[in-house]
Amino acid sequence: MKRFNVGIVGATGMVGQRFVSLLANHPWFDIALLSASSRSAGKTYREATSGRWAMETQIPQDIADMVVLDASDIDAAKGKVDFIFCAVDMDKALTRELEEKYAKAEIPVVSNNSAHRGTPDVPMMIPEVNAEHVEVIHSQRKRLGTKRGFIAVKPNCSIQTYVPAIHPLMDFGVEEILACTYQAISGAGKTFENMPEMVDNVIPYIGGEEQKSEQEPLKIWGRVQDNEIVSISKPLITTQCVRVPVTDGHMAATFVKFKNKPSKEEIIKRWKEYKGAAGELDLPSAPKEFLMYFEDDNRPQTKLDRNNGNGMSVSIGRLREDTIFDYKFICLSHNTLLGAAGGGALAAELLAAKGYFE
Amino acid sequence: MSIFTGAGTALVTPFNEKGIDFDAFKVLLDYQLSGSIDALIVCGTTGESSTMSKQEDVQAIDFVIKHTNGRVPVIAGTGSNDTKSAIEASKEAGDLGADAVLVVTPYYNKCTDTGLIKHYHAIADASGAPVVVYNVPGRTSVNIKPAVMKEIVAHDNVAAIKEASGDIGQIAETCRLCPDVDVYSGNDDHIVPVLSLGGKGVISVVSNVAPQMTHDMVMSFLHGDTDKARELQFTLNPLVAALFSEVNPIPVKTALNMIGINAGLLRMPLCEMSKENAAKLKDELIALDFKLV
Repeated sequence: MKRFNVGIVGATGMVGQRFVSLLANHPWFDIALLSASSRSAGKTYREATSGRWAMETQIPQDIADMVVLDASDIDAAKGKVDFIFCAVDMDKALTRELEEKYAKAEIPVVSNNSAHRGTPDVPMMIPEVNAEHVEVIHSQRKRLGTKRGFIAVKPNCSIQTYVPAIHPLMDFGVEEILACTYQAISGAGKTFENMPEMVDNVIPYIGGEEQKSEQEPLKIWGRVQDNEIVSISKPLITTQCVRVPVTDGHMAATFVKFKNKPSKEEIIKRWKEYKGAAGELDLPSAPKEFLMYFEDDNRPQTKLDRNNGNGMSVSIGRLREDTIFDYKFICLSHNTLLGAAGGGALAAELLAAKGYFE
Repeated sequence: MSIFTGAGTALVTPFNEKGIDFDAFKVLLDYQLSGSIDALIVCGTTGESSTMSKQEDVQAIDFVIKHTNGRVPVIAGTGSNDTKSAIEASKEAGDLGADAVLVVTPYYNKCTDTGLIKHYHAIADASGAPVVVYNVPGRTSVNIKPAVMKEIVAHDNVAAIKEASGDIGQIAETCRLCPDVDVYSGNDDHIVPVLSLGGKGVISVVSNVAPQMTHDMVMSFLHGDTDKARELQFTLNPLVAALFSEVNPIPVKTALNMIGINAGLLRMPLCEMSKENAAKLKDELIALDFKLV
């Protein structure tokens, strides 16, 4: 595989930092550009993240000395990068506009933002689940009038815990899903230092999260038809999303009702045998085991299991029959790895492997 | 990019009468991961690799990699006083998926400075995984002087140094001459001093028992809270002293068994801890609020 130069737009935020630490050793991608708001522009990356670097590992030396550019300066990125990861913290309309500007400048965009998630010819990718959605990029390029520029997006982090777990069970006719999520503070871009209200506390509201959690899976499971992705109308999904005092890792208590109820053994077998496109293509960020089932009643645990598969696996446990739904279980994934930067890197690897960055 | 930043545990290997006790090993690994450990080192000196067969080494390395499953980096001890054996073991560990190999200096037969450079470069040439150079003259009777270390780490596949010489002057000079590789303390009572010289963490024995405190010590320092790091160093030092009151890993295995983490048996010639030293060890564990079984 040839190497690609990548830019990280929104490099100083939590997801941007995660991209920096993930890509420092990436076998295909080299960080060639870092950009952020005009506040950070002109500073070295070390200065721009001073006092808010939240990763466990330190800033890689060669990255620390790079000068951060202004994210809105698209000309500065031209010719420097083969594509960008976009993880900006901006108003939705401005984000949409910024991402289109990059795409129209022939710089493909792999985005963590929600702005384009609803656009029918923009694939919303969980590579292990819906790799075939990349097909719509051809028609998106026609709409944008570009040769290589396009936008692909990642879904919200909360759904990446339970959608992968339910996906291998879809052909049993999943009719209803109820999911209560227990979400980490890094999902808000925070640590305990700058979100002290989370110490010894649970906050029962995360703005916009439940709507995204209920809508986005329907597009993820949608089908490509007439050059766009058509969302499915079933299953019915209801969620409650709660912020809990953990640093990383979103857990979801999940309930499912099927048309054709499988046995417990069939479900576990499906999980154990599941291998999505990312695993089949042997992409660098794909974990060996995407869905891991634990027999112990006290697993998965957030602190113990969030890093399974380098933070790219979904850990599942406590599968049992339910009194109202058919089954219930607990699942867990790392919200800034699988759920954000790691998932973004995996999506980019899929696009690279399929030739979309040529 | 560092192999790891923080505290890595030089794991004991739990043995039973039949061999490696993998059920006990699993509990130990989960205890480490729940305690925020940053890396795991398998088949090091603390793991009693000297009395493990080649087949057991492979089993232990494979088991730790599989059970850890990417949650933290795994480093395999593959050193030998026979360069050829060290090369074979390093290749095998890399094939099994180890994130790095820890290679001790050639003990017993010993060698010259030129021999040291050739030894490490031959291993670094052959190994798929990056090499951590381990200097522990107290055990091996071979010391890597800073100027020699500088030549060893010039190899692209040498990524880090584990310094356990106990000589802060030498470690400072090594850090000065080797700015492009990471240095880890190999002594639990020198963690903060080595961090202050630019170290990235520790490859630790005490973290078998106290992973969270060891992690917190390193991370406090690296995040700028040096007062807290120093306090934690002082808090842990009496336990560290008790853990080295007899040949490692005799006390650390005894301590783990005392707090209910089954570390299993010691292999001969290592034998049971003396009653007096065990009593002191117990007192230090109680002083740190460990619950004894």
